[in-house]
Amino acid sequence: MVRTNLLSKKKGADQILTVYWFVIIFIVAGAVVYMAYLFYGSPFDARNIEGSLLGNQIANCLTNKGYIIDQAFLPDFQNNFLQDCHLNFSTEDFSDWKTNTQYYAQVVVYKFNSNAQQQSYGESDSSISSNIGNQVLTVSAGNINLKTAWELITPSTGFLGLNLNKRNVNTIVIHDTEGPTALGAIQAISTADLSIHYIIDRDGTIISPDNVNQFAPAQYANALVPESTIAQDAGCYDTRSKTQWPICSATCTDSNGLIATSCQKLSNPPPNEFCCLEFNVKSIGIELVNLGNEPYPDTQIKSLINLVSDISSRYNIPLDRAHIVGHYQTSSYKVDPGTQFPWDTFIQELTSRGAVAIASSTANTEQQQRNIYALDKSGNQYVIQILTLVGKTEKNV
Amino acid sequence: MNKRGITLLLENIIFIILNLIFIAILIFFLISKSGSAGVLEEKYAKEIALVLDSAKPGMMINLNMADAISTAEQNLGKNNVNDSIVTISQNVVTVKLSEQGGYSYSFFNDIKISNHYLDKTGNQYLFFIGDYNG
Repeated sequence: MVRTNLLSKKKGADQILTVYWFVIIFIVAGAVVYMAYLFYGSPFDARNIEGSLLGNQIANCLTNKGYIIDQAFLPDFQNNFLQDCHLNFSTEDFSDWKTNTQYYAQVVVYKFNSNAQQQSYGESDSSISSNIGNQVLTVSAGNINLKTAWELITPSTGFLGLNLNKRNVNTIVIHDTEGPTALGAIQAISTADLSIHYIIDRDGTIISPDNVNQFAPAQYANALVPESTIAQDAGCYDTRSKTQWPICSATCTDSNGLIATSCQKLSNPPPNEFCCLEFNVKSIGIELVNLGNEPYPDTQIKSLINLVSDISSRYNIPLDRAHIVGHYQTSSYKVDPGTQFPWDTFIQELTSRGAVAIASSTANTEQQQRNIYALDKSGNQYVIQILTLVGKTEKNV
Repeated sequence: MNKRGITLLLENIIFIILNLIFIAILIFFLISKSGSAGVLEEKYAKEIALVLDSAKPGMMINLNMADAISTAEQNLGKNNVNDSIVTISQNVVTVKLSEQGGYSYSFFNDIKISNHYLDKTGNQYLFFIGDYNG
């Protein structure tokens, strides 16, 4: 009886198995189709080869049969580096390619320390690098933002990508320089013994501690500090209106009129005002080159959006006006970034973009660095360090 | 053979045929995807840009583009495939194998391309490198 029942159910069981079989096949097919779309949908990466070719071309341009070319040290060469090395970084303008060139090249030539050269031969690279002498030539060309973007994450990123120097930041303060040039701003900030994390020039160039030497003499470089350092930029917090800005929880004066340790009295204070250090402690400052009463160029705002978006993603800062503030909001007697700053469109574009790390564009930037060794005709030895960065250079038309 | 045996055989044959059809469709999809205009446009735009990056004045470059030419002929019609499937302007290479598509990629080498044309009989594209610009 039992046997008969089993036999009668076998056909039904077979049919269920067949249905399951097709379900499994459809799942597998779906996975294959998805993988095919994923594989063929994403561009294949040629920038590694491109970076290598760019490095080769620069190396061939600077050296000839192991000798550094004489012209390399002439100002003409340094001014016409791209032309002399037959490089053209300005391409037809697809997707903003003209304003944001896709390449960056930097050449630094060090004169080898002749006193130590004997012991360096045949030893490891580290001993060679310790014998590198003075920097005798620096030439760079291309999109500096590629380099800035690449460097923004690299210095503070440690083992397994953990950010070892991260501060507890919850605010971004936007300033304007009240001056016409980035150089002027750097000099003014440094002279006043203040500091800032970033300066964005009118053309969108982001100046950070990593590249400040390319924009200002070395003695003013302390105007820019890395994100891991507290900058002195947000200025003073108006104790009278502190309820508007809950970020600073400190009370600057106690019942006896003593100033709290988290506050600092101004040398020439407006009445009842103190510097609340907590604002600087918890913020990142960005200066925009602007006179304060002129419209902000689109390229500058675009660069600001990219930078704020990146900072927000790394510190989980909400993209709203409570956390992205103007300097005038941290110090009641300040007005920057001024009435011309397009707050509404800026916040709108920022929120529509979301918190996107520059790291993602950095990941799309191929970076290669190589050292080559060359002699001059007098027998002096040089180490030529070539850095090439290739951004994302593709476009469906 | 009894009736039950024939039914079982038929069911199994249909099952196997269905599976084969399914797998064939999947393979056809993968092959067509890998040879699609979009993939070939990207492939050749990058390949040409890299070749031009490493080119020196006086070089003549022959690039076998048989699969791209065949795809362009399918998409544009045999008589409409001409030199314009590859355009080079201001250091940007654009490969266009269909009406709607096209892919661009930039190169950095400041060379003049003195001439470039399609050799249909040889299924290849020829590039003649002139002097450096400037």
